Amino acid sequence: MAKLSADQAFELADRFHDISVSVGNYRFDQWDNLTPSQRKRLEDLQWTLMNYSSDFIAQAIYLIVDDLQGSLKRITDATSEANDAIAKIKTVSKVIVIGAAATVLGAAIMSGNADGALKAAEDLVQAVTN
Amino acid sequence: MSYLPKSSNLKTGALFLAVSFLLAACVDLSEVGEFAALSETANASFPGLVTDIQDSCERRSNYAPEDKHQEVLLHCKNLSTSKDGLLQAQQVLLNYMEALKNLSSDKTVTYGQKLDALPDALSKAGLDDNQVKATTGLAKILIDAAIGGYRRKELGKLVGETNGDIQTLTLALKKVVSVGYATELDLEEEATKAFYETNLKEHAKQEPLTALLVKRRWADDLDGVQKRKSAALAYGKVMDSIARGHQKLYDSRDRWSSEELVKQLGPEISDIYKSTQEVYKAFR
Repeated sequence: MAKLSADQAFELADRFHDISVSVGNYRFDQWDNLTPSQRKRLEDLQWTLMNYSSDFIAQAIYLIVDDLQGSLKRITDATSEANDAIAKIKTVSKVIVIGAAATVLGAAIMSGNADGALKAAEDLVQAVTN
Repeated sequence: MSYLPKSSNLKTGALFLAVSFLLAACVDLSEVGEFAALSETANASFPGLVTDIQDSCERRSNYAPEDKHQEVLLHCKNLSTSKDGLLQAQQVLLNYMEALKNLSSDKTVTYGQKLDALPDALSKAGLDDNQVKATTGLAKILIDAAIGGYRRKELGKLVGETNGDIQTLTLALKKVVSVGYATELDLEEEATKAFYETNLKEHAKQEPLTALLVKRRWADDLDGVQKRKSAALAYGKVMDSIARGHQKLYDSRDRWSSEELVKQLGPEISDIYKSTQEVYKAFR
């Protein structure tokens, strides 16, 4: 017998649920016309049908989750790449510090402020080596 | 008094204009972040719902006749086979949305004390107030433009690579909850009816007061099931909104503009927010 698809399993789960509802309704509608033993048999049947319905739900979910593995792997890989990119952005902070120090050095040189330029150069060396 | 040569001022001005022009065509990515953050919040409240698929089955066993109780529990174990896989699948979506949010967030970058100290350092280097303001502003704009460009590139790549799989995953999670969990809840509802109505049929005439209390208890139990059914429906809507929002990001990944994103993602952000509240109410 060919394997069920997830959709077919869900469909069967729904059908078995519907039949269990019908059996339950019949038991209550005909309550006074049924013997205690007949009521018990119908009740047991209803619970068996509910169990089958739940089994088909479990089977469908299993098939869906199994089917997802390829997608999950690819999304996880892409997520890792994105997290690497985020880490790279964080290292940019270090570059910013160096850039800021270089900006000050440039400004000091252009302004002709020798003391300022010397101090800025020292700061730049510190920023790069830190 | 300024010691900067006039040509330097002109260069600075020209560069400022060029950067401003560049930024006008650039993107504020906060809408992407907001979309991702809402989706993430939604996902964070969902493990309880996924776990409840098996819990619903086990609750149902409490309504079973005594001789059937263990048999029902045995069947419920079948649902545990996929529980971990399902939670992991949801976690993959959660992690992805978190990465999407972080990549689009300005908070990823900390400028550090050096940049904050830049105005003071420039003053000491001999620049006047206007020059300090222009230079500091320009430095920040350049950094933002560089990082913004990188973030856009990486976001575009991420959305481009994953869209097909995100569509598959959200559809699968929606199906599991909207169909599978919903049917399990239908079974739980049917079990409450089988239990309470059987007891009422058997004892209501002899014990009318007890029957009244039993009816109240039945109504309470049904109310719980109904809340979970609403949550399952809301979960499906959230998955739809994530899928739709992601598709819009994918379709426009090469031409994002903040105005366009606000217009496009607004309905999804609003839907996700409303639906998440529904799930939260049932599983807080």
